[in-house]
Amino acid sequence: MILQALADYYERKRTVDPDATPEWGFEHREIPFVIVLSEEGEFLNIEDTRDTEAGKKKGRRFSVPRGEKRTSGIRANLLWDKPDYGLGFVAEGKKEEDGEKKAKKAKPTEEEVVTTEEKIRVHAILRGILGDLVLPERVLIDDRLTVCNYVLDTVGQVICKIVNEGRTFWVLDNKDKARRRRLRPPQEVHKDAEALKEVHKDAEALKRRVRYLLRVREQHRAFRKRIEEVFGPDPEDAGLRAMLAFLRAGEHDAVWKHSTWPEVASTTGAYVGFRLSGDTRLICERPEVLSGIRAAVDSGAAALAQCLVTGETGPIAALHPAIKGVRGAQSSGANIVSFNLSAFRTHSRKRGANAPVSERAAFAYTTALNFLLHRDSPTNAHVGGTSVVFWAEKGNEIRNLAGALFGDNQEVLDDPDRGVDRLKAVYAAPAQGAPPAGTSEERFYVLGLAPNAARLAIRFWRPTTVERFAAVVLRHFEDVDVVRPEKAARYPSVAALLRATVPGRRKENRDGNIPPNLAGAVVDAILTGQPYPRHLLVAAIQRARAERNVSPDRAAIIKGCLIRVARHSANDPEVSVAIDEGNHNIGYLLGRLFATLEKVQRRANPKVKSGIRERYYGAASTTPTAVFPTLLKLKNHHLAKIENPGAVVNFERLLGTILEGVESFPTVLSLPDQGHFALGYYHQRQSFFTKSNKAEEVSHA
Amino acid sequence: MNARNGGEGYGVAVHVWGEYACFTRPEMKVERVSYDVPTPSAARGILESILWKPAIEWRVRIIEVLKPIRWATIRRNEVGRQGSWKLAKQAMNRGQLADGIVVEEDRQQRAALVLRDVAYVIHAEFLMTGHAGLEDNEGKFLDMFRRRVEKGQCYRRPYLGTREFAAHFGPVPEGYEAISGIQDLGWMFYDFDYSTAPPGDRFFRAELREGRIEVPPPDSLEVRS
Repeated sequence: MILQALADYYERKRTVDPDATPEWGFEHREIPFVIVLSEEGEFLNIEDTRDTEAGKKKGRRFSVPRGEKRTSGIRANLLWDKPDYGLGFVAEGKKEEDGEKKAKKAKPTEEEVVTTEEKIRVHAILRGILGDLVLPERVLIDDRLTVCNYVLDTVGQVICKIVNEGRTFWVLDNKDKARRRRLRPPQEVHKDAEALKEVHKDAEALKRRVRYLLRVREQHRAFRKRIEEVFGPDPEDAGLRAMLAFLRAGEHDAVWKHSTWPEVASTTGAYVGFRLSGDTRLICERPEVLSGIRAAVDSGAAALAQCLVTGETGPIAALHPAIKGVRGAQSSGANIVSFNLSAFRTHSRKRGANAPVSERAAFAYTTALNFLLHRDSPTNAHVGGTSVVFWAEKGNEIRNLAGALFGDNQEVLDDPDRGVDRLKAVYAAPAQGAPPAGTSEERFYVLGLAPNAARLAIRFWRPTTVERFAAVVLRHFEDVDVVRPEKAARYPSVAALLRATVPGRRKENRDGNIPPNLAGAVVDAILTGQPYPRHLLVAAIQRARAERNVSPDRAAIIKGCLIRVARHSANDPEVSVAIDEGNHNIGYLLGRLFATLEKVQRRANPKVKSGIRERYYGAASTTPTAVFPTLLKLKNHHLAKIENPGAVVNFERLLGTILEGVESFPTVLSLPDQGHFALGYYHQRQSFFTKSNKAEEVSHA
Repeated sequence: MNARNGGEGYGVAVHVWGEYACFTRPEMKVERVSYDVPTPSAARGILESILWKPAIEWRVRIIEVLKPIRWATIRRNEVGRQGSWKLAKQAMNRGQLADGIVVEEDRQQRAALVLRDVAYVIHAEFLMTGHAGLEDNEGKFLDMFRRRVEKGQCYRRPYLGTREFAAHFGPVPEGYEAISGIQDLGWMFYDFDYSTAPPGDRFFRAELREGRIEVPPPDSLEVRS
């Protein structure tokens, strides 16, 4: 069901908006540099397609043939790749080491042709090490890699011998068999260990360098071969001919000399594409080329079976493409469908055979999911440790809102109320008799994903309809609505609510402290209209106690939890958005009382740092009887210090009203009542703020 | 027991319920996600736990869902390795300890999205197989099944999808009601296809109508390769 819904979404998206997602066999990739070629294959120019975006330079996205999964073997992409594949670029320094590691892992190829250029380069390196000991004519590297290796090894050993014995030597060539026999591995003890190490290091470096050079050459050759394999050695298309001519030329000095080249060399992820001069598109985007690529796409090597997504028989994917964009998972991507350990397999089947999904279906659902999870897309939200994805059957506006309402979308941060207001405008319309926008039965899907190393666990899956989704979201916002300071945003995102329940100074730190199941459970509760998880109420109250501050978000959570619990058991919730003078819940009244007492103290001693709130909030909300008598005694002293008699009267009146409802101070407050305490405290303080604002306005007027 | 199934064989019905159930989707086997409803394979497993003889072959016809579909997420520590069958056999023969799995070395934490508080009525029929002897007839097995269900007898505890979610079973109560609504469940796992080695999968198009799923007979709609 899940994969099927995603695959369907991909198909629909292709018809509606073909440029948004790649087609089967292709991918969208950022290609920062484009090599422009003439029709004869001459190098003309390097173009930099990058745009500075949010401080980072990003290349333009192109639709290119799907990239190969590469580990340590040599596999070239088609018509685009990194500079070592595409141009045969040999890097200095660190890149070389990486190349060397890969070369070691890869199996050596049998046929190797070392060009003159290589010989000269290696020779130059050798000369640098050995000084004048090497006679140029005798230089060594013959036409076979194996010999090359042998010679390099031998050179290393011979160098040792030289240092020890201080005599000249001939570096042999293949015909010099007699001499070759004389060069045996040195058995003498080497006295000058230090100098020897130096020489060894250089010899090693030389070996590495040569291996790297040869590997790059192989990569570049593979790049050209791939084109020849797919399109034939003599294609008709002008772009392909230009490319092949360019690649066959071998020497790309013009490229290295170009002014933009140093940029390319120093950028990581510097993929190069190719373009014919006069064209606007890349060679791999030319129509004739595209048809050739499409024809070559299906592999045909996979086993056939019934796909459990589409129901049709087809080649089954052994490995599914990775899904990126889930926060907390591996950066190289994770999989929903994976069977990497023996304990996960059925009947000892390998890999994808455990759950047959055809290659096309695998591509479809992973592409859809990657698209929905794309960083800037409003269709996903990160709530706590869970990534939530929303999509609708047709392109429905509501799914763009959904991401903002749940997570930290930038749009929300700029104008938080816009999302909810829009939602209300569209979907509350039925209440006023206006017809709802869009068909009400249109399906809407919500999928929650959580990372587990290289795998993704599905937290929840809720297929619903647009109408129902709008209704539950609005219900949620209604439930957590509390009066807030004037300029603050009215509607908090779910992610913000969760962060209010955990410790941590900065947003990122707090995100890490949210219990993993909680986020998923909260979103699930929102979607089903069920009471929020109990832990949420506990966490909010505890955090309020620990920080001795009932923030608006915490008050919102508490109110929401209490309302839903009451609704579920058909009780009167006894909670409201703003202060409710008629509420006689003991917790609520005590909260109001505490807020008032605090205000009195602050009025009397404005400069107090550690007032009753800092010292007594915890005890007051849990064990009132231990604390309130003392506080009530204290208030008399505070009241005495206040100069304004009118204020004193007001305070006393307010206290009187509140205390009317309080028969006695309970020994303990239950958790829900602690929630009421927090709410009462919050409401009362907010009402003080608005009152004082009004007073200020009046005095300024 | 009534045969509301409209099938050819002799029909039974049994009421099955439990606290949790997990009818694992094949594609989400590692981080388990359950189907919304039991698979025919799971239903067959329950029937076979109660009664099975070589003479009969169970065919599930209808699965009815009695309680609303509710979910729960759980996370469990498991292991990544399978124990070695060969080593275990060696140990048996030699009388020595064999290979063991040390959890700390192989720990894998796996999440599961399971069903909560479930109840079903399974309607099925059985057909006589080639192993049926001269004294075997349908009535005999029908009676056996009925008696065992009433007494709560089973060869092994029936389970709802995975062994850790044990099932309770009993005779079908009077006047029960299934849930309402129509839901298209897409392609759902039907059962294994034991004609190949290793066994393959078979799927069918499942639809939940007013709480009922009609399970097609094995030789009909579902295709396999």
